[in-house]
Amino acid sequence: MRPYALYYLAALMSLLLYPSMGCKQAFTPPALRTNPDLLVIDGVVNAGTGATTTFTLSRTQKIGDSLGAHTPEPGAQVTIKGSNGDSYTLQDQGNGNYQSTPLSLNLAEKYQVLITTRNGSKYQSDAVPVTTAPPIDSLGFKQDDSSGNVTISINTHDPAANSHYYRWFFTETWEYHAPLMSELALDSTGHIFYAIDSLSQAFLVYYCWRSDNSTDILLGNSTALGQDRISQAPLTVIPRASQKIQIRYSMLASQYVLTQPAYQYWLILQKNTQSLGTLFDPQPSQLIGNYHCLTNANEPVIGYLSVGTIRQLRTFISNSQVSNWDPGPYDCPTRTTDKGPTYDIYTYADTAWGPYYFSGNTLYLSRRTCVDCRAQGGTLQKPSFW
Amino acid sequence: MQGLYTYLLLTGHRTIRSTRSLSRVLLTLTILVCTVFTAAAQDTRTIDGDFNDLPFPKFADRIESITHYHFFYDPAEVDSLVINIKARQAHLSDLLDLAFKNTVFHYAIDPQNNVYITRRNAIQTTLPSLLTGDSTGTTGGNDSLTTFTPTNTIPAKALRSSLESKLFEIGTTGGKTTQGRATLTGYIRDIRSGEALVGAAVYLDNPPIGVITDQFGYFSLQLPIGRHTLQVSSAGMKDTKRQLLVRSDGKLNIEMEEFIPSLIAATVVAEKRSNIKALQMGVERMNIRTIKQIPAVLGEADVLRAVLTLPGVTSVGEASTGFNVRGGSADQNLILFNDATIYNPSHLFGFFSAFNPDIIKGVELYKSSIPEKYGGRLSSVLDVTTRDGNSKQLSGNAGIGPLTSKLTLEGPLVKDKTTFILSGRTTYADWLLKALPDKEYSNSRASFYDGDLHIAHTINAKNSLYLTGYLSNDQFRLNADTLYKYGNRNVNVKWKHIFNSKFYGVATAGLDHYQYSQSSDSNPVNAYDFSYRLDQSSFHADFNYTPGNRNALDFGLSSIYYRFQPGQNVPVGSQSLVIPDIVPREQALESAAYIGDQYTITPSLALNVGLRYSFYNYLGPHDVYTYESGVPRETASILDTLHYASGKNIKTYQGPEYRVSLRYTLSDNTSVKLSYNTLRQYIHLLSNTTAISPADIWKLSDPNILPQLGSQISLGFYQNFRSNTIETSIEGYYKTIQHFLDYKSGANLLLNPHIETDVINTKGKAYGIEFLVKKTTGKLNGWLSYTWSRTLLKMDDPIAGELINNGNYYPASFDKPHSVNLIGNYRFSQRYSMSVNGVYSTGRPITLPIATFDLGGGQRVYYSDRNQYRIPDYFRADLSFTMEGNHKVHQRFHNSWSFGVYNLTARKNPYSVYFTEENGVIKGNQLSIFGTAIPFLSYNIRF
Repeated sequence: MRPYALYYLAALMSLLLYPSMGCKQAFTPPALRTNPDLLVIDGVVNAGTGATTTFTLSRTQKIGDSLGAHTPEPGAQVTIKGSNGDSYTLQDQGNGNYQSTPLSLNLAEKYQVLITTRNGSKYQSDAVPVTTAPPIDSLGFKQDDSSGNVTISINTHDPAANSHYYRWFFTETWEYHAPLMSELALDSTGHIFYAIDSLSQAFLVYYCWRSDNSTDILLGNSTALGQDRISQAPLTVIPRASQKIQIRYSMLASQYVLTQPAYQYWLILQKNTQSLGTLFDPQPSQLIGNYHCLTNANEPVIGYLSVGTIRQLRTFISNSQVSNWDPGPYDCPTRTTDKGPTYDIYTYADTAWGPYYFSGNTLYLSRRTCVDCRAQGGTLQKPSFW
Repeated sequence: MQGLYTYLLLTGHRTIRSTRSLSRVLLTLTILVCTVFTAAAQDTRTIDGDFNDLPFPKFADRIESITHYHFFYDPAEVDSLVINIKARQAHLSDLLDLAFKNTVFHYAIDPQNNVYITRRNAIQTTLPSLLTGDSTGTTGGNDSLTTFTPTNTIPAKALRSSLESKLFEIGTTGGKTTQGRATLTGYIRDIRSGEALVGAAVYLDNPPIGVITDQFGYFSLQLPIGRHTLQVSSAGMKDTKRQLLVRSDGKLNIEMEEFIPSLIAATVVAEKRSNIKALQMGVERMNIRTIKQIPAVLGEADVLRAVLTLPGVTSVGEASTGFNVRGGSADQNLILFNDATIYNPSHLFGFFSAFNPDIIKGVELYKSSIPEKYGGRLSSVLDVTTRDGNSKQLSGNAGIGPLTSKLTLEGPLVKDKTTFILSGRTTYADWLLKALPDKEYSNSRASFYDGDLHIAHTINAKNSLYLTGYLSNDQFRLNADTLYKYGNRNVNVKWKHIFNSKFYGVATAGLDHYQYSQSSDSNPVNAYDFSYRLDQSSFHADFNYTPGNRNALDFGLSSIYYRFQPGQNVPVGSQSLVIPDIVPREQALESAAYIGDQYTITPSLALNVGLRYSFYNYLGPHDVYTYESGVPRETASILDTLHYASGKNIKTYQGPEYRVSLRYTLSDNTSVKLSYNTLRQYIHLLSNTTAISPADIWKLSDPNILPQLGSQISLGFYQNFRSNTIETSIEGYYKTIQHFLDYKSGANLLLNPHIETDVINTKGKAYGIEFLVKKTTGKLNGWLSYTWSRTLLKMDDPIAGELINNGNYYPASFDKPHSVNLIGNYRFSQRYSMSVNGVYSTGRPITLPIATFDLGGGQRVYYSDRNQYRIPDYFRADLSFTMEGNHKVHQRFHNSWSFGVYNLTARKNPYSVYFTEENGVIKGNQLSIFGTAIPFLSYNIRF
């Protein structure tokens, strides 16, 4: 049952009325000068045996501030405390990150998190029970006939019917190649040399791997079903001909189970940021988590503590498993220079261009994005699971 | 001394528009023989005074003020006549002889002291003596008396003026009277179609008494016995009048002609004073002619959008046909279609209203003093009435626009007994969807239709029956996946019985139905069908008793039985794992008795006092949860579940509702009105979205959900200018609302058997002032209104758990402090007209994000307190032209074209402003619904 489908429908209605016109425009709100400067606590206590837990503390930013660069909150004391009296302090890793040693939590206990920031403010979460995640049954994918997009979805079930509320996140990794294969490479000083024979293939800039973490809040619930089962809940959509399945794609999905109030919290956050913008929008809801400021009761705190085991599953998709998946064509013109001595180290000043091949006395160059896969964000390091 | 007396009346060819006028005498004439009393002896007093450079009408006024004479003349004829006379002990005839010397004018004075002024031919005020043997009139002038040959032919244009000058005798000498007064009853109808005219003013100038016709066009007026000029006016119709000689109780039906200014050259002296003299305040009437003049989206005349142009009415945005009246929420409006309650009056999820304009006669919106007859909603009553159908001949109407086609048929079923009107409208929006470049929508389908049937049957002079049927349906399939459907079905029967001339009653029985469903079978495991429906059966009896002109009583009973199915979700197909989830039915009985009296204390002071007592029973079978007291209502605080058997009374709410209004006329064209209302509403619309959506569910009050209570006090000042052609008014109001439902964060409203855990009681206050200038007649007509208003809500439920904005007042989503509406219509000729619509309002409040943060891998937003910011102001101008086919009466088809532009300035008015996270970045967006100039063209044919 998806009442929210109405939103899409409503957006469609507005399109219907004047097909050729866009009705959506960028909007910059009038300068909102005050930053409430609230503490943001991000982290799940991983209750798996011997698992480490990482928390990230940061501060809110003004809307107009450049995005992505959140303000970290280093120098805080972060402690996980069990109702049995156990206490684990997380190590300050700098940059607002705090990491535990491998922990063995008791699944029957309740746990809470205590934080004291640099300025002396004290925060405390409610004590929450430990949830246990059932295994992920499978990750499936389907290519849509008309759009050609690939949707990856997750299937899971809990035979004990204790789970009901699920949250997922994933890390996706994919192999891709530069449009043009060059036998030449640049060393750290910018000198061109043959990569094949002399040093090693490690300098080849043709094969790359890239990884990203999920950014959307992915939730599912099975409360309306007769079994505790999630069927084909979509995790991500890969647009047709995306670089991600140029060669091979992999997703490592993580699943944990939420309590009902935790699900509610993430649902509100999801709705507040992901589902707005149509005719029948719900009013943005107030976000009330389970952290509280002990030193100032009126100070809102952002974040919701969950403690639980995490289940993971990896899947692969090869280019041969999808159809019509050619990321090209690329705009890869070549440029020549006759100054290059054959079989010798050579420097080319324009770093936007990279060496392609030698032919006789002539060095052929192409755009660096065409000959060096790293220019598209990946690394040359093949992951261990590949 | 009074003897029967027969007199001859001459009628002319010319259309006359004056209180005191006499037809110009032309070649075709007729004799109307009436019987009248001879009045007291002719006025013999003499006249003294200097009449210098007086236009004739002023001269006549002065003479009337000092004698008993009454002048009848056509102002257009005498407009060049200026009187310069010094009179010393002169008789009127001497005076007029002198005044008309060497002019083309003649006069005639009859024994009742009526003075008729004509050009060229003098009027004979008596029959030749061979008929009566008596002659008491005097005539004078330059020509000798001409006697005309009567004929039986009455030219159409002469008919009205002849009726206006004809003296109607009401009752008989020995007939029934009460203390020197008699009751006149009758119907006001449209002369062309025979349709009843609702809300027409029927009144006398002296003494100043009058009534407004009811929904059947019926009126009942008490008059002193004697000679009167009865004035009749109705919006969109030519004013008319009747000369009456009232002797005892009697009947008079009056037919009015449509008002098409350019067809008439005569001076218009409108007598539209009903806004001054009516007791009610905050009532807006619009007839379909006005509604059709307002430029509409895609040329589809829209009743609800027309209502939005009225002062005090706002909406959250263009995609919503939900409207807010004086700070009330959209569910606080009672929308009646010939007395059937319409729960969702919109098509295409709110883009169009579900009323076919071709069948509509007009709408009335009560936003301040709601008559005691109505109840059950806090803010307003929108009464949409259909036409009865042409009683004279079978006719029809067809229209083609870019979005819909429609057809209307109407006519008599049994001559002079039964009329019908039947209409249907359907859309062909599918081609628009297919035209979309985005493949994603090419599998989507949208369709709607609506149909109406109305039958009016006259059993006899005392009994009439009316049947109304209404049907609307919407279907939408998104990407061949989810199918949405909703629709209304209504039927009702009315029986009107006239007990006697002072007392009549109407009994109405009706069934109203609304349902919504959505279903999907694209994923067999999750395939579902969700639906909810509501049914209400109602009966009411309304009586109207007019014992005298000083009192007009109405009283009655009403009862509504509600049966709501608040929602069910069932699996579709054998593979579906969806558990059937059926929220138990709810039922309740809402009953009310009311009585009200319009009491005219003095001619200038009138009072309306009404009391409505409503009684509400929430009935079994139902399970009711009880909660711990003093703690927030949550599933965890449920103490017990009480089961009630079928038909058992679970909870009763009851209370009085007061309706008081007062009018004091300061002068003929100025009045002050004051009103105070209290209202109760037992049903609630559960809607957590800014705009109401078809999926919103209605909920009955139960032991945990209290009925909404409202009260309003308002004060208004009314003044008319230029012979009442310009109306101005200022109305101020203050109202309070209690137990209005707002929602907890993340409230779950669907399939929730314990809604009370997700809602919070809110109280509201609204206040404002409305200015209106309206020109009702002339080539240029229209109105301009400005409203300043505020609507504030506050959560004060002590056990709410969380309080929105810490329990402080915050503006409602439809709080728009400044609002300006301009509607202008200019008629170039009888065939061409142009309309302009201008709208400005403050942007509605929104909750803005005030900070961003990183959580769960992406950028998120942190929102301000609720509704602390506003979207940009709204402005829109529309223009339309209408071209009528020629006006030859006898052609088979009449056609008309209209074309225009909606949102002429192509301003991208934001409907909403929102922030989304796309690939980890927060972006601000604004969404406009009609973000460009939208031209339209439509064609109508009448046959």
